[in-house]
Amino acid sequence: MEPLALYGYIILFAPLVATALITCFTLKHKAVSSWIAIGGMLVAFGANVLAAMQVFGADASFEPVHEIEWLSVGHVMIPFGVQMDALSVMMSLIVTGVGLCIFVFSTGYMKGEDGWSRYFACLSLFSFSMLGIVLSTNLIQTFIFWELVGVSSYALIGYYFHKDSAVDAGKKAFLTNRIGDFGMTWGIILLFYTLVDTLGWERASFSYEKLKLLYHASDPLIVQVMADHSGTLALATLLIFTGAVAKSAQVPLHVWLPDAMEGPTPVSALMHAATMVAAGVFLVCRLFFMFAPYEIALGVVAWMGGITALLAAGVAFVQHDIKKVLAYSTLSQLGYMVLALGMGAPAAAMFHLTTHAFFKALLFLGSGSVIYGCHHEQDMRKMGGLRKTMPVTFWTFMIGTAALAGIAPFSGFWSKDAILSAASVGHVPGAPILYGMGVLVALMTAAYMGRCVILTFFGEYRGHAKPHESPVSMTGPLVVLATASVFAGVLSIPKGISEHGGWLEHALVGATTAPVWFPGMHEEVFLPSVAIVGTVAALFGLFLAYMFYAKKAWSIDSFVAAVKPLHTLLEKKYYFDEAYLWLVANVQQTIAETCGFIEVHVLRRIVDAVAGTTRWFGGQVRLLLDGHLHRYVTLALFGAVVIIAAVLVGN
Amino acid sequence: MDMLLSSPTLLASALASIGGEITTSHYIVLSALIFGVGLFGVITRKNAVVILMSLELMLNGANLAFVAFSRHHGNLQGQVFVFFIIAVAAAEAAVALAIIIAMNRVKGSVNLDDATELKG
Repeated sequence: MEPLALYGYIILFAPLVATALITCFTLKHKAVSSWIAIGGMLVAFGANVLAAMQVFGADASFEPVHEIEWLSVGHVMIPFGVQMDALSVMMSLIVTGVGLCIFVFSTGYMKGEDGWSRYFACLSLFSFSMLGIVLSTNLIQTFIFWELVGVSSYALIGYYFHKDSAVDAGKKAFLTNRIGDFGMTWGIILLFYTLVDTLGWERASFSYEKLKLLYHASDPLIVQVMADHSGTLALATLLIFTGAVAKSAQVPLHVWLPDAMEGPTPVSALMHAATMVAAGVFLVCRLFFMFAPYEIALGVVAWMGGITALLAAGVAFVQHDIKKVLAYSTLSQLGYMVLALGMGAPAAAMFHLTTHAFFKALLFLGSGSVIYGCHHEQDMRKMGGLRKTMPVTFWTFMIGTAALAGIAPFSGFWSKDAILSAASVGHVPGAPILYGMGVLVALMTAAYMGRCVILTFFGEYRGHAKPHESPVSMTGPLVVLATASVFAGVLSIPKGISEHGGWLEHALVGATTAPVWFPGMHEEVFLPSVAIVGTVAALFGLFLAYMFYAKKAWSIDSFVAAVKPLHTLLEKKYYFDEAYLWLVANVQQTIAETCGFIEVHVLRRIVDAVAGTTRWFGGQVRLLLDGHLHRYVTLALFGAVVIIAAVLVGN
Repeated sequence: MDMLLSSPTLLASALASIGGEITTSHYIVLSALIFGVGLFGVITRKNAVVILMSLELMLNGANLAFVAFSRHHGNLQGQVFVFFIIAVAAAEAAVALAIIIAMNRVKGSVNLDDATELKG
């Protein structure tokens, strides 16, 4: 095995080993459990750094895919392995790096909580699942880990299992994700079936590399076949995308993410900001060659992202829970990434995913520190003035906010600019509208983050507890993540500004490349007009927040009164939950009752009739067996005679 | 008479005059007869010991057919079967006799008409 593949397996299995050790041996020993979890993550991170040095190093001669035959059924071979190309190494570096910070942070935040070992075991299991998705070489492996992520996130959201709301949130997340997974299952089946049907068992495959070869094939036969079945293949692609829609919380399957904030704050930071929700975006990047040929697929992706970004940003304004603000902000930023994918710029999406992972994890951990410091108070109306009592948290939170709002030179500015410039030159139907929406979202992001910061850190303290700064185990990771949030932009400063710019895009070319004939592939360039528009939007957003909340020059109450219907709509989160409730209570219930009626009155009758006939016949036959062995033997003899006679006659 | 018996040729001709040469079909007929006698015994007799003896007759009827065919075809498979059947029959006899003794202790009889509890 090559060292690179070995690194891959170490990255993948180190967290699993940690989970196993904790569950089997150290459930009773809190400190040991957390050190095992952190140790596992440290090993994975170390191996990841080594792998990154090889993958991104000057010597580019490495074999990215290592597969073993795992399951073999008939002609179908399902492999298991690790794919260590630029995309997956980049992504796993985020998972292990940010994960490591959050593991350390958790040791401070979870102090005094019950089920400490269970928490770290679940956290490690989650990391394993997530890394499984990232390093997977094929659709089936991805799907399995996809489900594992669902399970472990269920366990972590419902961590406070004595609280009904937490349990419900866990269930909601799981069920919503199941809907997406259902679509994804059909997508995988349809894709494989179509390939087998048209190209035969030999060429059809689940492996990404082999699929990519099919989509990029120059063999005229394959090209012809792929063109003839473009409708089916586009449908399969979109079905697989439904899985990504649910995991990455895009409208209309976004409802689980805000509720998932019921879990402990570090969990929110790890899963619902930095990694799990990024899985959908990552999957689309990985499968970008499948989306790229179909304008309809890209259009759906782009519009879904744009709409999610806009809707979620709106709701963020009316939330009072600091974590909920960040949750809707996450939704909105994920919408941004999906928008970039639809615009044919997977590199920009990955860039934003990277920077967002840093600054959103930072903001979540910052909010965790605030919540911890305020004695588990999450309502921003009962905070305020915390910049004096929590200086480290305040300054790191400010950095995160500046990055999220897209203020130069923080990392968020560069990645947001990359997405906006991709949108400004995009090819999908309605691209100019989407660009406009993107700019509007930039403004709204700055405004609601301004509101959040002002309410939390400025003004006078409005709560009753005595806020205090958090311990080093919590502020340490904050500082690390803040540093990353400032500098992560250098990964891909556009070529127009720096000679060595566009590094990330360049590195990802091999992994996310689209077919050469794809017209929408967008080369990342620096467009000064876009940068100016984005910056002005962000500054205007901050200005609005300042005028409304800090200076109070304009009254927020009279503004709300003026737009009452809109405000209600936002407060009710566009009635999505109500709509789903209605759907379940009426439509689904009707279907279920109809099925129940058919089962009781039709199917069960048939089954009962069959059973009754059998029972009656048996009742008659049993009279023959009266306990006299002679009769049994005689009957057997007659039977034998009949059979022999039948055979003889037959011959 | 002495002369007659001491001469193998004459003995052979005497046998031939009774029914001709003894062929495989003779053995098969004998085997069927033994099997039939055994079966008749199993069906008609009430005494468990007699039934067991009849069963052994049936088995040996089958054995005879196996051996006859084995010789006819010139291979040993049939004889191997027979060894197995003899072994199984011995085991069966041991078990069956034990059951019959137990039955006699419980019921004071080895008549099968007294053991009809196991109804369908």
